[in-house]
Amino acid sequence: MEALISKWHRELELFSAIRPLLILEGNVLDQYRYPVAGSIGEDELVPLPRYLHGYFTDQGYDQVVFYSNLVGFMNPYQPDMLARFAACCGQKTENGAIPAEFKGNGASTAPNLVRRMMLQQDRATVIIMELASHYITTPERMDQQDVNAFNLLSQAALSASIVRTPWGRRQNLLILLVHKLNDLPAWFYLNNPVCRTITLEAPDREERRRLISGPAFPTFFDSAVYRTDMPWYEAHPQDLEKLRERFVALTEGMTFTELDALRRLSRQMGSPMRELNSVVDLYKYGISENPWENLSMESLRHARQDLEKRVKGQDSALERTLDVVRRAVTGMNGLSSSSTSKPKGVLFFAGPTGTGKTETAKALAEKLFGDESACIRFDMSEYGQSHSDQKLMGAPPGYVGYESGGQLTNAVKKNPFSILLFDEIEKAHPTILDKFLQILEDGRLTDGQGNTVYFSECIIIFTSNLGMYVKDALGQRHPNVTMDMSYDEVEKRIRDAIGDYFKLELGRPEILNRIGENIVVFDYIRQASGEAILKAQISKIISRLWEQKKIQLEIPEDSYAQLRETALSDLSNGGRGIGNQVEALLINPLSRWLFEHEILSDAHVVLENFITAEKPARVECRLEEKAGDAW
Amino acid sequence: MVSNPNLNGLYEIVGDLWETLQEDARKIQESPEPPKVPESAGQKPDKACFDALWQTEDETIDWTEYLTLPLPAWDGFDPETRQFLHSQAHRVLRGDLQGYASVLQKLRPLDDLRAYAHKISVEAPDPDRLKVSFTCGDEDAHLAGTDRDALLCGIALRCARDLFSILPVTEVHVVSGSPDNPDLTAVFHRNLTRQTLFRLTDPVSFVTQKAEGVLRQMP
Repeated sequence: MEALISKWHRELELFSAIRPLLILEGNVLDQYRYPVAGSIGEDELVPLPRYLHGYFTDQGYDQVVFYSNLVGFMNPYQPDMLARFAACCGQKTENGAIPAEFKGNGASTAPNLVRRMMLQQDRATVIIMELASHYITTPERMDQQDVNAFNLLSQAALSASIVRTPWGRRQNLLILLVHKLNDLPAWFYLNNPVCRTITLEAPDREERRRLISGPAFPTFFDSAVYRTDMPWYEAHPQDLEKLRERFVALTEGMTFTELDALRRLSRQMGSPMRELNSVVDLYKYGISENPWENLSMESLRHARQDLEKRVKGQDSALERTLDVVRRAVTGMNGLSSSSTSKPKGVLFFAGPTGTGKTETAKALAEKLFGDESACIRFDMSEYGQSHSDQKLMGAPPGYVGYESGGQLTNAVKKNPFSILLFDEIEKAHPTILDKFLQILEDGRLTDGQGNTVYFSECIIIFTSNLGMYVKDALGQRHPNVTMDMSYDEVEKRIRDAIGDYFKLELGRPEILNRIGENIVVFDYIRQASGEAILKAQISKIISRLWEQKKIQLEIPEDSYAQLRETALSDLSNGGRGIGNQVEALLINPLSRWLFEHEILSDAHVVLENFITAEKPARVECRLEEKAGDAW
Repeated sequence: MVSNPNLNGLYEIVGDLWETLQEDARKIQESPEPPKVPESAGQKPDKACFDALWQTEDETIDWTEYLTLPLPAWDGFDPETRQFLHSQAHRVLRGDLQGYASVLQKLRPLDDLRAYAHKISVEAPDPDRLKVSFTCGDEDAHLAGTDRDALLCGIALRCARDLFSILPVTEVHVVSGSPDNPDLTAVFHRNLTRQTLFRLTDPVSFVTQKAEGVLRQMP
């Protein structure tokens, strides 16, 4: 297998020869795959300090020592190097270390010793300062001794010597390992000609592929599992390739330490090889049973009818919505993209108010995950300020609310298999849209506490009333669509308006691109669907009255016609408007009548007349003798 | 010398990070001695020894780790054994019965049971299964200071666990007593033993409830 050398390793090779001060920032607590055989085996995963020790020892450096402000100078891998280092700088070792404080005025402080050793020309030396992010409280609040300490390190790098060794010339090196570059004072590294910053990223696709295809592959499995399952995969190499490909896609963004933990988890569980990727689910979400895999085709075949029971008159919108679900279930949603860690589906519901957008999301959650509460709703009008992203993703360390995390990240951590409903997305602050961009593209987000949350098992639904109104040149709002337009016309106008909003008004066409063709426009509630909604609401009231109060409510056809005429006279407010009418014309007057006649249960009431002309509306009813329990 | 006295105590805090410091820590806090298992049938083991027998198991060999170099650094084997394991890994993971035999001969996983049982033998009818048989006399129960049922089940359990630890088999078939009239037969599946807390498990309950094909002759 050809050696795979990471970008940061190449940079280390290149710049360790020409720059005496290297700052390694980023993923410094992770393990790394050693790319070539040397004092460390090829492809072995080792912590960064061991990696660096192995690398510089192989390069022919005489002494590689580590510094920590807790212990001092040390070398846990090759203690004789520390003894040589101690002799070279005239210090004594104590309990396997050379104690030295980071700041102070003495000649034995760490920066002074570093300077002395960088200047000497007898032994090629590398000094690696670990956890350098924590030597000072913050770069903004440094006292004079802190400044002096960094000044000495800077001078040490500026005057670093080149040492002649049997393997050629080697430059004395000072390496600082930091989480973030700005943990160090800016003047220390900015405009510093001898300094080079190297960023350590999480393993990329190739690195992950190497891990799962190289010598480490068998170690992902229990010995008995490997022995029994591997012969089948050897006979079916294309299936093995698929297994590996899927693993690479699912582990995007994971560190080597996480991948190693995943490897140990898989082995400990003794799962069959074909279930390797379920272990990834288990690691990411804490559960191994993926509800997506448990969805039956039969239940999806009837999904349309089930959704229609709750959402009336939206044939086209329901069909488009179910298309996205079908894509997710058949695994076709990632086919047009290189990443399979994207959310299962993204939908953008637009259209007039009260047409069933939120209801569709809830009905879908019930259908897919068996529970309406799997639809987690965020009212984006609450996230209109510039700092609102902290409410969603969690405040950074040091800020109020840091401990509680973010509302969105907490919700997804708790329930990774869910429908996320972002209501009225146009009311969110534009900075939040940037976060959505990351969720839609990478399928993951890191909260303020540094925990990565995965959205790859979610369906994300945005709802919006965009496109309902347009502004004229004077800034006045005018209806863009009206009820007398056909659905095709409504859809076209709303889609155009949404496009204009993202492209022209917001200047963020990339967000629109991520949504793609998944804009679903809900139609106005028209007469026929209005009547279906009205009927559904009235039968719900009748059955509840019977179930809870044993009151049998009868509405004869001609009374119902009176109610229908008034309730459906204005459908511009959609289903919600019909509900309001039912409340005003039926529920309130009826409860008034029952109260006045002291009927609290066990009765048969016939509603004879709706007096809608009066304010408030009232009803005329009569009591019938109760027929019996069977109604 | 440490100029700041606060640093003195920090060696202990960070001791586990550094091997050299760890050695000092080890001198101070030695781990408690495990109960000593008698090395031959002539010596008399006690109850604590017997409990330790079935609550523990031999060092697990992660064969997939031994397929390629470098070898895992954290196992409990000496360098020669590690090299041997590396040389056998391919054979064992192919289910080669000769490979199984070499490993059993080299590691002798059931030797520590000699104080409790006699005529211990292991057969490998196929790469998935091992069959182990042993005999226990009445005097063995007396020696162990426990009832015969617990003794048989404890030994059977330990046999299965040891064999699962060292070979990638999925099933261990244990027979105690003569093949025609056994005191105990039980089939253990690998997955059963994987996530059981044996420290808190009663061997008789485990064998009767979890193992398959259990046949016991009550004393």
